[in-house]
Amino acid sequence: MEEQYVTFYLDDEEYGIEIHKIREIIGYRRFTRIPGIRNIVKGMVNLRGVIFPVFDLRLKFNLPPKEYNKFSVIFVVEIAGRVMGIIVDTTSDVISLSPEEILPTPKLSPSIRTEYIRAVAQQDDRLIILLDLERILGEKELEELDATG
Amino acid sequence: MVWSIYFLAEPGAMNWSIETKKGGIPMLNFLRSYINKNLRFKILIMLILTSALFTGVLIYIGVNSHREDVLDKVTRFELELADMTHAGIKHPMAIGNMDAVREQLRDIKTAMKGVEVYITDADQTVVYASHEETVRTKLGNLLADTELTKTLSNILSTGADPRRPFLQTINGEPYNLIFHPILNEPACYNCHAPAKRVLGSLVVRQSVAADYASIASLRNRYIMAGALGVISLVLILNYLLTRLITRRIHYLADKAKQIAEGDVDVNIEVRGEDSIEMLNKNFNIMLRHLRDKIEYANSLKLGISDPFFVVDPDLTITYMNDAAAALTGYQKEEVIDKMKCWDVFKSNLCTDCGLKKCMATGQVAEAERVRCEITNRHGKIIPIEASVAALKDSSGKVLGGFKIFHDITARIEAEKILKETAAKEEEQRRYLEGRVDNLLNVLDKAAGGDLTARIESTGKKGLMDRLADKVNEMFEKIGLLIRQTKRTADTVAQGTNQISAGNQDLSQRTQEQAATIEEAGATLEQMTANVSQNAANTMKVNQLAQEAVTLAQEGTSVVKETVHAMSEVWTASKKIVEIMDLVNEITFQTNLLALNAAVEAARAGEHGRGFAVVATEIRNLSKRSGEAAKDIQNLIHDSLAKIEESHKLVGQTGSSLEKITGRITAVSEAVSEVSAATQEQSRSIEQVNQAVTDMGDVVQQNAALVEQLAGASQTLAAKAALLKKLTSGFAVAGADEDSAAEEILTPATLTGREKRGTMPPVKRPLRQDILQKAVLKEISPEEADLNMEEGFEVF
Repeated sequence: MEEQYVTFYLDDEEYGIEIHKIREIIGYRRFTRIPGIRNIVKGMVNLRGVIFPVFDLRLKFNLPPKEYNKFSVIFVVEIAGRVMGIIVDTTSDVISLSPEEILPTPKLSPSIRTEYIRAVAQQDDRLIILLDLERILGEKELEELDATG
Repeated sequence: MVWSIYFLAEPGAMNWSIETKKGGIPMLNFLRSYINKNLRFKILIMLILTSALFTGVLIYIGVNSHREDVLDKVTRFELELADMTHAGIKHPMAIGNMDAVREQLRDIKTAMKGVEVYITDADQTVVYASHEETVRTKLGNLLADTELTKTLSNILSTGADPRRPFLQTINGEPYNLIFHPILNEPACYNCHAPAKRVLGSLVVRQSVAADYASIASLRNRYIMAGALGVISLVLILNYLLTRLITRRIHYLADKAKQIAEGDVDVNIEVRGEDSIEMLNKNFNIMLRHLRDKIEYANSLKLGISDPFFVVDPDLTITYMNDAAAALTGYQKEEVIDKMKCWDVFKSNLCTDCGLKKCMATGQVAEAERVRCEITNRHGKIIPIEASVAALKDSSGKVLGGFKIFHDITARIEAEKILKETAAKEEEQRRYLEGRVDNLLNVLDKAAGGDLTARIESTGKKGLMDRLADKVNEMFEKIGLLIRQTKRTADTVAQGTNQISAGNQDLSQRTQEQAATIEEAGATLEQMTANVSQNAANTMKVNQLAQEAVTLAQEGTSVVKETVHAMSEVWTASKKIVEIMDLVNEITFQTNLLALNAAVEAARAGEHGRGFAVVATEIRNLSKRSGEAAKDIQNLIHDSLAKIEESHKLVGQTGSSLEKITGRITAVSEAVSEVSAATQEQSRSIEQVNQAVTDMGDVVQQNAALVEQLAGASQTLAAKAALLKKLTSGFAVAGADEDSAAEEILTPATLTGREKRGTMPPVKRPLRQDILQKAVLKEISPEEADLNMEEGFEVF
């Protein structure tokens, strides 16, 4: 049974998210910064009356920060019943992956935290890191959000 | 009468009429001679013959035309009668009224005497006739003429109407006949069958005896009148001719006879201007000429002043002039026509008389005048010179002779004296010739160069002796002069030899100088050529540099244009980049929309599958356009980078070109300066060259002058040698050293020449040589002659 993923880029790495986890994909837009908030939450966005927080995934992944531009994209997702936005460098594609194409999570060095990675998919020459959104925004983050929310 | 004789002397002129009957009948002979002698009679005969012929022709023509006229009338009358009769009987016959026909014919018989009319049928049988006794007889019998019968039968068979009369003579009486055919007509068809063409004939016969008689009587009358006319015409013409011509010719003939008999004093009257009067007039003129001729001859005879006489063939004197009479001593009256010439003149040549010979041979004059002596009446002998000639008439017959002579006594005397004088002169001439021969011998020797001979003198002090003395003296002095000349010539020859040697040296030096200068000139010319070449090259370099400057300037401007074009490209590229950004953005937005669509489709699950496909397609499109946009962007970025680089390079090129222009301009200026300097150099060298050429010319002139000088000195030497040779040919008396000779040579001339001759040749400056030459040249031949004359005067 094939499953659809939406892929995006952070630096040169391609990442994938299950398509039905995504509510909408919007272009970068000004968001309202909230004082005293934590680093990964960048601010709040009002999308057609729905207000939700926006995360920078780079910060989560400890990647060097990058200036947002007009090609920056916000994925509007629903995680644990909460609507939130994820800022990525740019969007890529919608791909369908068969189970043979999805490989189990490789054993990497201990320095790399692998709890957000569900699996690695291989299609043609591309290597796509499939993320587990539930885990990315762990308890801590959710708590923080709750605190803000 | 004389004229008529002359006239008849021409054969065959007017005597032809008698000539044919040349015979022995005396009467005719007499008549012939009479006619031959009588002009009037000849004219008369001619007149009679002419007028008779003329009248005869007239009579013949008149009678003939009358006769034709009468016969024509008769014929016409008969034809009309035939036609009328035919017309008259046609109707009675057609209606069958035969009595009317008979009646009509009877009327003709009574009305016209001598006219007979017959009507026949086709068989020539008489049906009706004016003379009824002939009815039912054959007309052929009546005609009694086969020709006419044939004609009648011909008319009856053919029906042709001859329309002309036929003649017939019966018992010597002439008749005229007319035949007229009666043709079948529609009116006749009730009696005659239409097939018959000719029904019969109508014949009219008439006697023409009366007409012939009238013609004969008219002819007789004509002849009578003609004869009378001829006679009267002849008479009148004869009278007129006699008056106008014959009588006047007789008058002229009489006068001519008088002239022929020798009487030239005749006068002929002239009364008019016709031919005969012109003849008379010309006769008068002829007579006048004759008289003039005679008078001319008489004047000639009287005009001769020398003694002169004329003789007849028997040598009887017929004329003698007064001079002849005086010479002979006779009176003219005693001599003329009485004496023979030998009796009067008694010449020693009378035995061989020139006159007689002259007349015998018929020669006009004797070739030369003859000298002889005559003895006159008083016994005196007189020498004469005579010319004789024969006198002739126009036919060449000798009529006599004449002689002209004159007395030559005085002339003979003079001739004798002349002869004596000539003998004396001859003697004197011979003596003089002897003396002159002597003189000539001496002069001959002198001419051969021997001046030692002298002429002998008789010592008489005559003209010839004086001449001899003077010639001897002259020889002495010439000898002296030649001795002096010999010495002078020696000296001159020596001097000229020295001059010649010096000249040769001078000439050699001058030639060397000329060669050196020529060499210098050639080198200079070479140099001039090189410098000129240099100048030309420099000019060319300058030109090239200037061209390069122009080209560099053009390059600069091109670079500027390139920069401008590049900046335009740059601007355009920038705009493209902006547009590409927009495109990218749109692509991105599209992609986003597509993704959302895909998300939505996924959410919709099975219902959203079709939508998902569309979303995928849109995404693919947006992805491709994004890639394309990216490619374009890359390219544009690339080109922008390149443009930037080009811009930099072009800027460098521009500055390089400017630098080049500056450098080349500097080079060009430098080259211009070099060119000007070279030209200046060229001019200077040319001046130097000109100077050298001038120098060469001067040396050439020098050489020419020296050559002339050499020529002159050689000529001088030759002349001196010639002088020596000439003087050596003379043999002179006395010693070579003669004190008198020294006087002729002037000291100035001698010393001057000697001094120049003895100077050392090599050390003498050229200028002096040339000056010396010039001095020599200035002495003209005239001056030289003058010098010689001066010498003579001293001498």
